[in-house]
Amino acid sequence: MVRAVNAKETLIATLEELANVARSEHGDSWENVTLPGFLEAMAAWLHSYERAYTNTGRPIPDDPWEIMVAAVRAATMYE
Amino acid sequence: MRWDSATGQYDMGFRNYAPGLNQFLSRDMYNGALADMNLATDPFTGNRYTFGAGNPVTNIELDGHMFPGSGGCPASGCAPAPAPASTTPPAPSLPACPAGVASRFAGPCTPAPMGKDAPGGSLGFLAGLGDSFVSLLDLGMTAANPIQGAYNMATGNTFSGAYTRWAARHGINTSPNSTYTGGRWAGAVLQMGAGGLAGGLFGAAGDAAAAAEDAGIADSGNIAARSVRFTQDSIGQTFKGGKGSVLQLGQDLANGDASASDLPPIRVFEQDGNIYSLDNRRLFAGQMANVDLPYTTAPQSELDAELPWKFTTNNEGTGIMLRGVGHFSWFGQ
Repeated sequence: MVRAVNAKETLIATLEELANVARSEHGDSWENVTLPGFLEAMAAWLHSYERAYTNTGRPIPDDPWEIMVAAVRAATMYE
Repeated sequence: MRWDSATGQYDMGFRNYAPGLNQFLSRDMYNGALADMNLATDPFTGNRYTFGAGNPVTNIELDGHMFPGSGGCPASGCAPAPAPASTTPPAPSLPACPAGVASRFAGPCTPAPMGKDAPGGSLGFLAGLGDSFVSLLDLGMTAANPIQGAYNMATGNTFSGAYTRWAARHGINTSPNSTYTGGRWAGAVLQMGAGGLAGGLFGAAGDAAAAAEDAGIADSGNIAARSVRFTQDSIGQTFKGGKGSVLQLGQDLANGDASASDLPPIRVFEQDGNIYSLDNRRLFAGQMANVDLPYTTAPQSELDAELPWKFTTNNEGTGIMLRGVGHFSWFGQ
């Protein structure tokens, strides 16, 4: 349970961090700078996220919070 | 089916398809009222403007009007669809593929249909865009992979067809006895378009991966798009910020309205003797047009930043899904 709480806090912190980046001049560096594009990219990444780990030799997270943290970061750059 | 460059639409006979909108410009309709209603009430699409009723993987539209198996077919079944006016080569008659991921490189075979009734690909409307368009269902689930017509990674001794012709143009030796060892393909891709690389084409013996590392790849240059692998398993239909259509760029590159030399270089990296790109949409357009693309080797910092998120391919990068359209694979052709 402690792990889940920590991961939840990490997700919240990540979202706040990304919101700040999106408001800054660095937001334009993202691949997906519109909300529809961001959401589509996040959906597409979640569809295939397991291979993002296996193809790079990393263990697949089993914590949904951790996966969501990865998903929002992936959505900034997933084509 | 004809491409109208003035309007940017495909004239499919009964109605026009607008790739920029990802839909037809008029409703699909049937004379039978019930069949027509079925289109509007189909829970998969909810409307009559989509290509193949919104399921291009399963359904095919040859005339912009109906697809085999749709509600528009009479009770006796659909009449055979007319062959599209295209240069798409006929599908070879192949044995059925064995099941499982391991079948991907087991040799040419006929893929098992996806879903409950998938008869085949449905992307014939793009057939006129290139000389070797292939509509595959899902390379991750099937083995109808054009790469197999070119070489067999399982046995390492089969080079034939399109790849051989392509390799010949690039001066690559495809002799079965001298090109491939140890289950890894080394050297050939690294040499394509890279220019000025080592003269030895493949490691004839020993560690092929080491040979690939020795060959290296120039920091920048031009490379045949169809020799580069995708990192992602799908891409969106537009470029950054929704600006510009990936399909339109491919079309423009194919007909000369755009020049590959004007594009930003794709960033590539080598893994196990294969060349992958971080820039999947530009690579898609280049593969679609079958052109050489400018490339640069990806800095390690960009690999570290992007690869953990982008490396989602399920077919060693030989094909990719254009989301909302279908699966494409031109690799090695």
